[in-house]
Amino acid sequence: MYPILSIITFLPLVGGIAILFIPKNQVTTIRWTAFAVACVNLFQALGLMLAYFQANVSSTSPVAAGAPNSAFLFNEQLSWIPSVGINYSLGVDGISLLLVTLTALLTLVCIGASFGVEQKVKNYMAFMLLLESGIIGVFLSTNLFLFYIFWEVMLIPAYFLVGSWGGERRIYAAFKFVLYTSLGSLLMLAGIIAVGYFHQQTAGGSYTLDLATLLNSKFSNTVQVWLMLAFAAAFVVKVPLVPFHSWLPDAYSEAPAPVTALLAGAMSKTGAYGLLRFCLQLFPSAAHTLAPLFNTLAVISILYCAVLALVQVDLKRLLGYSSISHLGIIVLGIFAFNTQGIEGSVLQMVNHGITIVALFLIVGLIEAQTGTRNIKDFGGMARRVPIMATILLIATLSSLGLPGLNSFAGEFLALLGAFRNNVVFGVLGTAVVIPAAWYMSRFFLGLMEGPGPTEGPVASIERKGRLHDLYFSDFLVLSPLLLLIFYIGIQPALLTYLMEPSVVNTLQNLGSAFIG
Amino acid sequence: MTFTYTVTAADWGRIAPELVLAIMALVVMMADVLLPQRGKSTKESAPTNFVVLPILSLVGLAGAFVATFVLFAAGDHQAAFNQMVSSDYGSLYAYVIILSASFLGILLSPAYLKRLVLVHQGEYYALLLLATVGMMLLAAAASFLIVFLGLEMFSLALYILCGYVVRRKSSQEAGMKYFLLSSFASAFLLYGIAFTYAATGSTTFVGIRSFLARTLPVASPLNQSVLHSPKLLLIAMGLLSVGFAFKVSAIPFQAWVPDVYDGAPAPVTAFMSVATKAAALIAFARVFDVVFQPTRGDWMAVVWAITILTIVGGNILALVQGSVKRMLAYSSIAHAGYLLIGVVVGGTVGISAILFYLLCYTFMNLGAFGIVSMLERVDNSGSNYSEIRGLWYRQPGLAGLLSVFMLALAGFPPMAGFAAKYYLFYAALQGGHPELLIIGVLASVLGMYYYLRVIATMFMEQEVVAAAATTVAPVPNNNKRVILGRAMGTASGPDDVQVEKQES
Repeated sequence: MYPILSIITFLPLVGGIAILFIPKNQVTTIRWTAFAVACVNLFQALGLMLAYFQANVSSTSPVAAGAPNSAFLFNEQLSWIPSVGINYSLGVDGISLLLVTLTALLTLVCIGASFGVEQKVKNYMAFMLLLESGIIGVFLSTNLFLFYIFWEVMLIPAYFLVGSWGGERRIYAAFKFVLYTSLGSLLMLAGIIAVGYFHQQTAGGSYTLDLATLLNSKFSNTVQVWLMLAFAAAFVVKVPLVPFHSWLPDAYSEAPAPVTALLAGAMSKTGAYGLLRFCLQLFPSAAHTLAPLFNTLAVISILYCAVLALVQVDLKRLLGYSSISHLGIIVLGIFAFNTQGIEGSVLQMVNHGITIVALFLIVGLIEAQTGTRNIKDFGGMARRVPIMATILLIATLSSLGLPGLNSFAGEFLALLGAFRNNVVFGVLGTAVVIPAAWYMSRFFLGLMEGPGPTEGPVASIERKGRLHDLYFSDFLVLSPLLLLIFYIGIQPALLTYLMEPSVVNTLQNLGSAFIG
Repeated sequence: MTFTYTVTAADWGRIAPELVLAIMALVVMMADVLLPQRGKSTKESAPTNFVVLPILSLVGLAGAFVATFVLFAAGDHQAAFNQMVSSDYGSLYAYVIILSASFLGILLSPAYLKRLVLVHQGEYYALLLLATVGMMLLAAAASFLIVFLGLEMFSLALYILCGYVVRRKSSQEAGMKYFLLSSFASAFLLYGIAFTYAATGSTTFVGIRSFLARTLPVASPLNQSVLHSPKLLLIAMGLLSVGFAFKVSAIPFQAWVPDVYDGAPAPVTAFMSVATKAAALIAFARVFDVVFQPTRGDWMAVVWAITILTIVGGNILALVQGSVKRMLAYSSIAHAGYLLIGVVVGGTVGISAILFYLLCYTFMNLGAFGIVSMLERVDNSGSNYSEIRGLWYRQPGLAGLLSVFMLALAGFPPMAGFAAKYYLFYAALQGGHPELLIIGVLASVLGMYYYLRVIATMFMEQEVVAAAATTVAPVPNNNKRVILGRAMGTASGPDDVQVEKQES
């Protein structure tokens, strides 16, 4: 059998290593090799999606005839260190399938957008591909040990990418990022070791870290609460939720734009995915106990960061705070414990990835031309750069949740789920629409409309006529994102069709009364 | 009391690895004299060949490896010489660790000695081999006599090796400091041995163990927390724990570590930071987890406290160091703390975690110190943070390798450091010590900072031109003959400007 999951996971890693052997001065070859590897991996992911469809057409699923299977498919299992319960096991279900495909797509886009990177191109591209490997591995692992390995593997390239290629305060930002996340992940490591231990204590048998086996374990509520807190420590930092977010504005604003885009678009989803897959599934009772806590944190993130986004002058920081706010909605949907909430959240993970990458890449293009990210330096650019302005407008409206564009369906479902769960959280979560509309219009109008500044770096560049619109290559890089913004906006059913059985399965495991 | 026993050929076979090395040490010293010499006075005379002696030493180590593997496969795993030196799997595993450390340490040496024009290689390699023998004896000891013998054997060799760079004040300081403090520790240990003998009437591990099993009241759930060792034995265990804690560089007996590790020649530091620790920890675990296992309740609190102090203190102190070498010295204290978790846990799982961690640690730490040895100059500069700024742009190979070792030491998967740590933390939980798991995990975050800081300095900071110029230029290779003459003379030439950095 063709081990497609392993190939999707490790192809970028192998490609990254291969790139290290290309001579340093052949920059073009390096770029195109990286691009080709990412491209092949995207096709692999699409092939996986197709195969997933086909595997389900013939399957007789208990959920509904013709609907995709809820359990993991394409499982690959190899015994690794059996004495401490460690196996190499990968599997894919509807939720991880979408996120893997998203990651493959976003990596390709971000590598395409990185052709302007001039310094240490070889290492840059190798790290980008390594990051892709790590993120995809996180989504596909079905053994906790393997999951942790990928979780940490993700961190190393991100650290280098922020710290080596970023702006002035890049080292500070990279350290803050690494220390925050590794504090969380090491607590999760303690949790992972403990899960196996408690499983052995309660269920007997040998020490195991296989997700499938652990799902059947019956821990007491107290044990579950502690374990879930340990796991969640890693996830809430990665998402992030307030008050664990303070690494994000620094890392996002200092990193080069394509890296920021990949971190915001793909890596932040690993946190939400972890909450959904591990916290909810492994510790259902604790999830119910702790749901008010997580819902509260989510609501605080949503509102507080939306308000903070209002007052940012740095474009990347503004988008960073908006990103936290949006991810808060995703967490709120997950902890609603009903089909709408979780489906909306998963849908929104995909949508947010697409939209935020488009926004960050355009900001990156603007910064590359003007050398500034201060919103006060800008204004009235739409006259000079009409195509860019149009695309930015579409992405902005998508971020706002305009009906007909992608984010609407996801946010609507997630907030609907939150309402059905608890009206207070629903109302508070929905209230974000007002500041969101405000800061996004400030963002767009401040950049593109108005009279424009009469002095400052942008004005002088404009006077010299050096401000150019999107090149065709930039447009090509952004075009798949634009297509998806429209396509998902009109036809989100494809995504929900893929994920629904997995979501229902998650809920059944939660023993939730809200299935429907 | 009559005492008769005969030495059989099998007894010699059980210590074959040590024998091979001891013989090879003698051969190295002979070869040192027979090689073509250069230099007029006896003080300067030394072989000009920097290749033969290390190769001889490596051959000796290879022979010891072979003997170890033969014992693994065909040995009877009995203690040799009437319960003196054991040859069980634990000892043989320890041999592998110590021999690997010695092998790598010797591989690092020729280039270093040549670059720093340290010509008296005969002593260097012979002492290194003898230190290895001492460590192997300590790790395999089945009697307190052999514990002390092994300890003194490697300590004496290391005192000299630490002070080997005579033109560097800090090196001589290292040798002297190590000698003074270590002698005290040895005295504590010896005193502890004497008290143990007084309390139990035996010096062999088997004898003490059977005495304790015979005389101690069986611990019931009610009196578990109550001390139940004889007072004499309590004193003995206290003294022994001081001696061992000193050798494994545990806090609060760590004061010698930074200065000695920092001043000693880098290949020696590389070797001793790993092999001493391995030998002492294995002896520590053997004495406390096996011999004193019946009195576990009495010593547990002390070792537990030392463990936590060492983990937390080592990691915190490593944060504020100014050079990679010194940081690695403190990080080795932190790692000793992680290793002590295994002693606290005890049992099969604890000791196997120690052994596995030591094996992984050998390669990580030797690698890191190996890079330092390539950067180090006579005046001990070369590995300060200011000097490795932007190293990636000058020597990408070295910088890349050092980053790999740093990531491994920090415990990033999928490197060995992570697997070792994982197994140790797993052992902590299995042994019923979740608090050590939590403390170890949190302290590892500090570790992330100082290890990654090295990477940040090499990769992310730009090279500062001429800002970090050193007072003493590295010894140029093309001018060797002149410098050789001067360097071997008195320590007052222009090359011998001492740059002592005040760091703590």
